[in-house]
Amino acid sequence: MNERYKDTDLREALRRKYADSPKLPADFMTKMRQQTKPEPARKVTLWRWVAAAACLIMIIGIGTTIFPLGDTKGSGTSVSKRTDGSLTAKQGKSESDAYSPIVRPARTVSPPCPDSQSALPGLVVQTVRTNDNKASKVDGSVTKAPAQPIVEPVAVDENLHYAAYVPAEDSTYQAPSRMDEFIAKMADYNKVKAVTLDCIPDDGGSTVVNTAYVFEDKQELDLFGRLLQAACWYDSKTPGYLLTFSHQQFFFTLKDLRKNEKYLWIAERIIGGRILLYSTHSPIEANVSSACFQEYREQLTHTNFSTLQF
Amino acid sequence: MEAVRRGRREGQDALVCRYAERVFAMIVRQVSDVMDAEELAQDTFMKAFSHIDSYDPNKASLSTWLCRIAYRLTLDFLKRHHPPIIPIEDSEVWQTDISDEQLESELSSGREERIQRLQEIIDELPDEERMLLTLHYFEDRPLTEIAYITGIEPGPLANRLYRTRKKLLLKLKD
Repeated sequence: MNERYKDTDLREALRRKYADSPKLPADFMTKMRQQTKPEPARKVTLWRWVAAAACLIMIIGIGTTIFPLGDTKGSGTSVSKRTDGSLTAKQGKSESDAYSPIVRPARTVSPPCPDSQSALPGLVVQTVRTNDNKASKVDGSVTKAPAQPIVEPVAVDENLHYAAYVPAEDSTYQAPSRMDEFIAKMADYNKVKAVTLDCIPDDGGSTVVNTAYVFEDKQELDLFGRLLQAACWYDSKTPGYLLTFSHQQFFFTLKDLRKNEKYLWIAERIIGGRILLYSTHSPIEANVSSACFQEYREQLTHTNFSTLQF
Repeated sequence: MEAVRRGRREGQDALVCRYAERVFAMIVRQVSDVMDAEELAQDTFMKAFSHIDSYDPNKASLSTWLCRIAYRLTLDFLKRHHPPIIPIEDSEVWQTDISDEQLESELSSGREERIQRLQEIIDELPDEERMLLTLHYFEDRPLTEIAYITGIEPGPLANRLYRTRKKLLLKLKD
């Protein structure tokens, strides 16, 4: 395998061919040294670091512009104050939560947070942000809480709707007379006169109060709907509670054991596009019949509507 | 070598000083442009520095190892830059039955016209075959060493050399 052919012609041809081959350039070593210098690599690395730092500064700048630094202070801690006086601190909120649009960054001055129960009934404090991260004791444990929290109160009027009525003083008692008050207000608003019926009860007593109203059966009034809403104020366990209704008639009874009275409301659609509302209350022991109401209804249905005095 | 392995400057300089001329000469014989040859020589050393751990002294000398790197870089360069050379018909070569002794005799005539004609024919050979002839006849390297440089097994390499010589003889007789 290591034999070498003489092939002298070939050898001579190659020798002549490569006889005047260029020599190694004199500056080859210099060029090699430049190529093997570590500085260029360092420069590339340095430029990469500079570029990375520039990008980071840009990101921080944009972030600071969009989200002012004031908002980030005290982030991660929020306190909720409830009407029952309990103070809860929440920690570990994410940064996105701290930047939530619900938090208003313009708020810098805040009222002091009372330690005791809120003076305003029905007031629910929903959100509290902090100005700093001073530690305070909450519920016996030391947590990060604000020295001067920013309180954003949201007042909720729970009685905006009748159906959502909540008595302020005695939540367990709802006076049946409120039903009469509501009907009286509704009649007054719709300019409907209350007609007092002189019906003598079977036992001859005179403490029975009978009142009748004749409303126009209008869509915008929706008397049946409103009466049902008012009936919903009362718990079904209220003494004497009986509620029946249909498209034609509304029937509701209650007893007020405190005043020893019983109440009855009957509303009925009658001819002429009207609704007759009959309200009566009397002592519980009084024997009250619906005869009075029926008489008055007969009177209405057989009388020209225009002759009635509203 | 240890200094080169550790990436120290003095070791690298010593290596370049010792082998640069040989590596450059090998390259410049195949690459006509000096600048290209110089660049390939630099690449050879840079590659040697970065792959110095792969060098096995038991397989070849450092010089041969550097030539192996230079050979591959040069061949890649030629493939990228040179137009492909249409090879002489192999079928014609194989059909010609001629012994080693006959070949050696024909290629050792000492006639001037044959030598000049061979110079022209060598340039017509494919890059790999021309480099093979250069390594064997001009640099006078044994086939085992050429096998290491080219990465071709010694047996097939011998056959390739025989075939190339036969090509040259056929061209001489044309």
